[in-house]
Amino acid sequence: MARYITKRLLALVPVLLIVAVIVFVLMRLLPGNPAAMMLGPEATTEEIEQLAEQMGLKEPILKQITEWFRNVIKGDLGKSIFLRMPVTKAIYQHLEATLLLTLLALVVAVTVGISAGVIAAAWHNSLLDQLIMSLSTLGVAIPVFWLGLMLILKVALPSSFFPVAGYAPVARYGMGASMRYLILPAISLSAGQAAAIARMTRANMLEVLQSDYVRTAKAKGASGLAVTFKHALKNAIIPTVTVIGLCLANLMGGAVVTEQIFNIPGIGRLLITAVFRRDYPLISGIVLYIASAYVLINLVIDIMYAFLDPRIRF
Amino acid sequence: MSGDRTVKIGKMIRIVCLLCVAFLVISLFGCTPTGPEKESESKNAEPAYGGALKVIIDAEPPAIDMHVSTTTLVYHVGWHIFEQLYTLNEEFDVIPMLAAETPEISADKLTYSIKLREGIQFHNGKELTSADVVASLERWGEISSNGKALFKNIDYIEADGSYGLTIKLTQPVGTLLVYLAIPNGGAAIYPEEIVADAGAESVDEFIGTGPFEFVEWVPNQYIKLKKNENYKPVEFAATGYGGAKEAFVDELYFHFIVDASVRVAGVESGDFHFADFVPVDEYDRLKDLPGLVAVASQPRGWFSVVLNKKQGPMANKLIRQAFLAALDMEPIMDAGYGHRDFWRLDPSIMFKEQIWWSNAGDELYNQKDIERAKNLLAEAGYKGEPIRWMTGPLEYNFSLTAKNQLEQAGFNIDLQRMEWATVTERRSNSELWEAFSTGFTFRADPTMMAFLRPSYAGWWENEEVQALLEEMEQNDNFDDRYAAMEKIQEIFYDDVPVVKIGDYSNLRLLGPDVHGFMNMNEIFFWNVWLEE
Repeated sequence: MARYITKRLLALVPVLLIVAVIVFVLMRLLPGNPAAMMLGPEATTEEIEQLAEQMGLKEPILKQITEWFRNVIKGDLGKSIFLRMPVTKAIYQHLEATLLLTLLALVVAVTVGISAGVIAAAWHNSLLDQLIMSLSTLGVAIPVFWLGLMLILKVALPSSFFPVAGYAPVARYGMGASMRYLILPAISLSAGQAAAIARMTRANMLEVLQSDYVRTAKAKGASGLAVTFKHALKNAIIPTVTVIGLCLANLMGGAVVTEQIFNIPGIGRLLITAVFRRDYPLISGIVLYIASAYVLINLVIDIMYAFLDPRIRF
Repeated sequence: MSGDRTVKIGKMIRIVCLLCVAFLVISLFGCTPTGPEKESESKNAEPAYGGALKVIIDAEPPAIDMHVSTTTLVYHVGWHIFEQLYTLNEEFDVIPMLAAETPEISADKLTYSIKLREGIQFHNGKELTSADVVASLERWGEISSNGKALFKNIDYIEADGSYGLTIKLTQPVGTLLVYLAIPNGGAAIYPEEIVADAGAESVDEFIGTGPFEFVEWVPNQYIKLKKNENYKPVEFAATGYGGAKEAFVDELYFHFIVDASVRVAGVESGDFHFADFVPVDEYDRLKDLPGLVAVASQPRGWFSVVLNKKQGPMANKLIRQAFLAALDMEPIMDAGYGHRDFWRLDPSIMFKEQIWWSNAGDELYNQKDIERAKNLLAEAGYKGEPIRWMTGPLEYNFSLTAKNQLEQAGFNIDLQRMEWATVTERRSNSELWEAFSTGFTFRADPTMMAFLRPSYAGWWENEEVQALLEEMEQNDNFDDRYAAMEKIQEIFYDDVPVVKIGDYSNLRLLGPDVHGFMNMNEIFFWNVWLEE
């Protein structure tokens, strides 16, 4: 196991290297540069050139990228052009909102998704099953931005309980206040994921419910509910773990659209702002962080499998 | 499968599920709402002190350092913290701010002596002296576009005692005070030691003399300012961007919310007090809502299409004239800006609200003459070469309507929609485009309109115009300058470097408890108070 983990961690290095190079080159192939964004719409060509020169944007790309890598190896991701603070600090500052939003969304998605999936499978082909499946189709189909805006207009606006946008850091305002800001975004974010988990759970449950050992359990006189929850659910849930892992990895990169709509200062929004402004060091830093998070979460999921299913050995 | 193990996993899953449910329940009900008061009917005529004013702006400013950027958002935040020697009154005339009065000017108009107000403190407690002013102006002259334009004609600036300043020119500059007064890329005064190690990139410490002090900038969320308790206002009444300023509120927040509908919802719900750039489609609904105030700003700028005079088909003046002749501005503004209260057709390159307004050349504005356009194209020998037209998302709708009109006249338009960063990058390369859409914002003096500079994308190198501009820059007699401006505008309509479409305002939304807001073309929140 230890060898396996070490091997996987070492494999992270080339992945990050490739990601970093691609992002670095892609960003510089994109038209637009931070100097022009800084100076505003009525700046002249010469002024933009001059500032770009000072920012070191006119250096050959190879020189820029080697310089950047040299610093990254030292653990220095550089300094954000617009925020004028180290990239690591900027990411750290935006991590809390993204982490809390992700966890909350995941909790909602898993709770709703698994319960709905199990209920649908237990009462297979009933009206309830059809209702849950229709809802989940809807859940997958509804665009996140639309659901977010609807929640703002129909829920947050009439109530004094939910703020329409923004975020309250836990350290300053306490967990309760933070949650008030995050519940609606988490709901809009988790709708699609909950639907996916529900469908997955239902499919797995149905498969397991037709297996030999369930038939044996029923033959021995176990009640329907006991069979469903005690015998079947445990095995049906394993593939769902993969989905949950992928959800988590997706969300870790910051839920870009949701953060933008609800004005939550998380990693996703940081990335969007950075891209629009061409804040190169910040973009590279965030993408590296997201890539690492993705790979690490996948690793954790794989290791969890070994614990969940004793037949799996590394 | 080992039975023991499965039971353990079953237990684990049950515990996790239970925890999840508990977590949800706690987060939903475990916190008490502290919603804002949404109803306030009484109107206070007497200013009240205290409270936190929460303003929503439409994006995060790229900086607060006013020397660095001409972007509007930079001074919308910055001028609460920093002040300039001069500023503009309601009529957009120059009035003193940190300067004690208008300067003494020598007979040859080459030497300006400026006296500073005494006893003014920076937010760090240091007294403002001429050394700070000299250092700030020199940096501004090096890095800001307006500063560079003025410093072309400056021999030197030097301190004259602690509260005096001498500006020595190489040739007369009629617009010197206007340059010192305008806020976009404004000549803000910083402490000498902060300027010293800043260079061309933004300063790291935001210390000024303004009615508000900088507290914190939380990226992607807000900039927070607080009342400057030691602020010393000028002796005359508030007017325009100057006169007596006072911070009535204890705290002033600028929140950045990009999504327009969320900005509206923010003020509607009472979470915020003010929103700028509210979608004008919302106007009819918002103006009837009790307690909310929805107002059109003074004109902010005018929509335009800049044509490439350096190369390609648009370098031919006849084709540019055809472009102008074909356009019917009303449907274009309608498509681009919707509600009638927020746009108007007007030929002038300066606004109706300014002393500079002129209708010179207006017979060529809004011609809607497809036939004339066709004839001009035939005369020019236009063979349907593609006109590559770049537009950002904001200008896409109006550009699309214009494209349809131009195609009726026989133009072959290739409209390319891209994000704004891409437009700014590509427009500096004359090989990539024939036209691009943009807006020109309010300028206090005609010589400061960006497109008049040959170095601005589009490259209008008209000798007559440059000579007139030079005359305007040197002359300080209004009538002479106005005559030169009118001449420039006539040439503008004949030579068509840029096509003016129409003026636009934006919609602002104020919550029920905000008072004292001056609805000018720019936003500021000194002299604004909150009802308790």
